[in-house]
Amino acid sequence: MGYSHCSYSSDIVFGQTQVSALDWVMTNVLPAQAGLEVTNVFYRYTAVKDPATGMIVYVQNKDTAGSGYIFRSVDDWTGLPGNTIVKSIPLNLPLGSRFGAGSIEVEGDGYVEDPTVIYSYRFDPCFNPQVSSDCEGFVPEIPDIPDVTDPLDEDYVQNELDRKAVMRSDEDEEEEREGVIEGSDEDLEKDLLEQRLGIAMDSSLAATDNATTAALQAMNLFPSSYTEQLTSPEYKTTAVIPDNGTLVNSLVQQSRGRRLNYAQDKLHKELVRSQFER
Amino acid sequence: MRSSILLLLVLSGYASAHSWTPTYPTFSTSYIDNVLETDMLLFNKRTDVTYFEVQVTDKDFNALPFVSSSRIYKVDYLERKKIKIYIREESLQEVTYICSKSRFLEQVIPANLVTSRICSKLK
Amino acid sequence: MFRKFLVCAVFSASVYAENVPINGTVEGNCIVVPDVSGVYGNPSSDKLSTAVTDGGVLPVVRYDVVLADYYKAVITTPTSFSESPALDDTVAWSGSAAVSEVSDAGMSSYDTDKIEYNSTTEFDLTIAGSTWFEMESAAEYGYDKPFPGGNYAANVEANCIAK
Repeated sequence: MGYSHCSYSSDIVFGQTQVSALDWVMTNVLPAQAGLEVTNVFYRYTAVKDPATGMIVYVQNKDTAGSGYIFRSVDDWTGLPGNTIVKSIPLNLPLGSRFGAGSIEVEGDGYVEDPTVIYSYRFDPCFNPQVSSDCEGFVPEIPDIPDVTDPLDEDYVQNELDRKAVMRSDEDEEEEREGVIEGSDEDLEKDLLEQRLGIAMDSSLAATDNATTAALQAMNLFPSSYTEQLTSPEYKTTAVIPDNGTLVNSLVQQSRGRRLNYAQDKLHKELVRSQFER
Repeated sequence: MRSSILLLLVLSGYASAHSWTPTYPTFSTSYIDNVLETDMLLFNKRTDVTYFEVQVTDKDFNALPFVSSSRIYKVDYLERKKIKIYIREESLQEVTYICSKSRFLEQVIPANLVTSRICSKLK
Repeated sequence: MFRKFLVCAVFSASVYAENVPINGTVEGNCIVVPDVSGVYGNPSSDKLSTAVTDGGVLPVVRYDVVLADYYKAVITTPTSFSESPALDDTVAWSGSAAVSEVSDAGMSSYDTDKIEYNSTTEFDLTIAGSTWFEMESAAEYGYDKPFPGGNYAANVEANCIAK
């Protein structure tokens, strides 16, 4: 039903679109282009009628912006024999968006055959410059960058990091100093001191816990099973291999094995001791 | 058995025309005694025709004597040509039409079957 | 002082403008446009015809008039071949012209008011605009005599006569 073709000049695109019907919707006829203007309407049809009767033919498009017609051509065939009419009507560049539903309406006796309506239009592809970066006046969109605060920029965070760095560097130095000194009296004294402090801490903690526990027990918050001693059965080993001395007697003492055992034992002790030596 | 008849078929499909103005020319005195002159303008929009014949006739389209630079003018496509027509003063009463008619060369088979002639009338 | 004068002179020269008139007149004008070339069909051996039913193509000529009631269209259908093989018998010609398409509904009355005589049809172009005329032309050779083979061509004369 529709036919369309375009031609291009440097900026403006010209085109034509054709309709061959008595009623049509313009959304399927004109291209959906912003700023499209209709330059001309050409139509052709054959009026079939009795020459003596009256007949008026309207070729029209409704106005989407109002209640009337954006385009209307009237052909009065009253008292005339029917014929094929060809008309070309230049327009004052109305916007294509104002062209509503089109129709060829017949008033009187007679009918219309083989209708053809051709709309000539033009539009600027860069009517909205934002359509393409090739358009003059195109402004690239800059996205809104939200304000991002880097916690590391905060003074108090930075101060804390500085303090920890200083503390860590002090600890590292301390450890280095302690690593140089091996088996010193100060070291031993320090161990003993730590041990005593640990015992003292444990004692104080234990006293606090004991007081808390006594208070809770007085309140009967703990069930009796909490404090009762659970009898645990003892599973004695029943599988015993009787030994009449043959197994032991069968063992032959090997001096080589004894040496290996002593060497392994010595190495083990050295390894364990090295962990505690600084 | 007769041979086939060649039927000429050319669909022009394009607008080809010539125009001849003014519609109502008037004769004025010329620099020669008892001779009147008028100017006609021929514009050729036909791509298939380049020759036009000028005619001066009476009301029954009978040819009358006249003088111009030529009887047949060569006017190329989209060319305008101003043609001066001279007639005797005593012929003024008889002269009714000044016409231009498209002409084809003999050796050229006409591309179409229509010869156009436009006549201006003396009032 | 001289510098100020020079500046003033240059400034006045840059704003000087000349009015260039454009003249034109609208006068009666008639343009004859051969729109469709005709083709002779050969429905029978002794007949050539442009009628569609005879396998031909009707020639169409368009008349464009600028001012109403200045011209009349005088169309003469062929009465002889402009090109043909040698014919040793008479050829009976018939033809007519009729309005085919109009640019104004009122032009359809041209057919009603046309004048026909011999092979000529006159239409009074009373309305400005474009009118298409189609012509029918037929030629019959002798009495049931077949046309000899060859090329045949005939001319329609389309005249636009000032009233």
